[in-house]
Amino acid sequence: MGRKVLENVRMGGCWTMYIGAVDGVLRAAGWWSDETYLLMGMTGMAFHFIMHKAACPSSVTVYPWDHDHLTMLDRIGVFSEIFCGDATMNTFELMQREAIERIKASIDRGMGVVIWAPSPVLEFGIVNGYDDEDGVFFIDSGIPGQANDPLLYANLGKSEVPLLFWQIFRGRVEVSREKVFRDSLKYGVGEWNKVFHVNPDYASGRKAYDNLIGALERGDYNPFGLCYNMAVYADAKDCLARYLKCVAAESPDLKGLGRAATLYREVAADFKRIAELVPFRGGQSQVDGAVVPEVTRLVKAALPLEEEAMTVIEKVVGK
Amino acid sequence: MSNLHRIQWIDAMVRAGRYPNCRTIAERFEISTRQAPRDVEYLRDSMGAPIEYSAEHNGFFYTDDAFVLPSYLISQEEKRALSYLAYHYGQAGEPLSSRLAEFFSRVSGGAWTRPDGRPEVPLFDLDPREVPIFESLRRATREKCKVEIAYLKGGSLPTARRFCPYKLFAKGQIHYVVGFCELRQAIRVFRLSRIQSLRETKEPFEIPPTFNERAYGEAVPFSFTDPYVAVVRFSGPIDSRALKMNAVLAGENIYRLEFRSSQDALSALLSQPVGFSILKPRWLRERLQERLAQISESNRG
Repeated sequence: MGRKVLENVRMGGCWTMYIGAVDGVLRAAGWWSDETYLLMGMTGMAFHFIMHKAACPSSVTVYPWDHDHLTMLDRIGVFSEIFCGDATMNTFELMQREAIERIKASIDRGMGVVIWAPSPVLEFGIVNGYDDEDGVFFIDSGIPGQANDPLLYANLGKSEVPLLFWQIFRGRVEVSREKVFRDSLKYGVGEWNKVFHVNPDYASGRKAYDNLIGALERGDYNPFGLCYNMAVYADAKDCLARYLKCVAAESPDLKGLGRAATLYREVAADFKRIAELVPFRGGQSQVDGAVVPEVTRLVKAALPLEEEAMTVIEKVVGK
Repeated sequence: MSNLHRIQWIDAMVRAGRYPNCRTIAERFEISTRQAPRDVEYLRDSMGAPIEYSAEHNGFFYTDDAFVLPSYLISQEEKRALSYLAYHYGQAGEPLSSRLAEFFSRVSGGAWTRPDGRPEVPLFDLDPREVPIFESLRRATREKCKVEIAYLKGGSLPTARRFCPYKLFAKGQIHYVVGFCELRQAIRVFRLSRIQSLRETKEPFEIPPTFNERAYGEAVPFSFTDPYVAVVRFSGPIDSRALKMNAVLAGENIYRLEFRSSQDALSALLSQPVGFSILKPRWLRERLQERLAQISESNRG
């Protein structure tokens, strides 16, 4: 019967909860000390712009977790183990049992673990401790005001979206920042140009704009989802603008990105204004129909700016 | 329908002006004189026959000769299926569903009352394997008798459980039963489609007053996770219903409580008129200490 709590492992402040979780774990382990916007940019996560055709709140998390999360961390030189299963699978109990042991072993090594939905909130969070006697994991869901009640071992992998996902960080290597910059930018270009998303109801990059504009023009959008997605993407675009500015300033070979950084600053300003018009207020999030035309106008205005920015990036780093 | 041949005979006798009565029906089919009136009641209440008793002729007759016995028959298995559909359409509570429920109920020979409703008609799939399970559970909930089930969860081997079925309910066209699981010593919800086998017993059970029946139904948000369980000793007797949690007495003034939020659980415990100590889990005890420390701090000086 063991018990261990990593008091210093807490979610980082980021609207993209996965990066908030990674930031919290790596920072506590001393594996990351830069600002969070750089983590968003260097991993490539800041380039994610995925939208459901009716702006479902799941938009921000519908992508191949196992591949993307593995490569995002690899990009910054962190080796991780990932598992992604489904609570409806025949071997779920075995998966769950294995996950419990793996997560506890990571906590014993002093490393928090990123998991899916540690609380009823359908987002990524952190496991930062366990208690065998109570049969619980201690967690941080990163939601302000949430009590962060622990997660019963029996409930690991069970939620409204019943996916058993864990990512354990095992080691790291040094990667030159120049390489990290280039790899992340190439990933970003790929995301922008993506034609087929993992789920046909969602789209990435340029096509995500089509989904968003279509939902707004038809009036067929999930109000909670629209507010949540805009909050997440407003933050992501801001991170991206800051990241590109940093890269342009730091890398002699990537100076041409200055123009892209300026364009993304404008995109970020549009999204900031959109997030103000459709503010995310948790379960009370509502959309005032009167603001939808202005939101639509701002989204349409952001599209050519982002298109131009991506053209600049593509010219600088290639495909 | 095993009594159908008797119904047809009664109908034929009535039409022929032979005034059958319970004694003649019982003698003709070698059934008890208590069973015979049920056949007449079924003919009258479920098939709508205008049948009445004539004291003058000491037998039954039709008050309206226009009545015709339905021309198609249903098997016992079909009757069970219709009863199953009647129950679920009835639970759906919408006006048109209610009419369908009434129809299925009448055809299957059951009694049914119309609930209040909402405007849409759901469609219930009929899983033939679920029907006998449903029928047994419905009987067990009505007669308050325990059942023994083999339950398949998460693709593993089925577990044998002795279970007190409190209530059947449907949610999103999936059928569930909630009750007390003796294996887990807690309230559990089981999906009917995952019950591999079921055996009814004659062992009775009581539904504790603390069971919150309204927490399980179509309109109630469903939790996908197991609840937290706390063991709490109170310094004196309490009205456990006031806790608004599933509570099982586990000793003298000791309760096993199920809850979903520490905030709600602690609020409920602190509102009790008697003292208490949380025996487990440790994390809840620590939450209580944190909360009391905050209250104490904010009231200092």
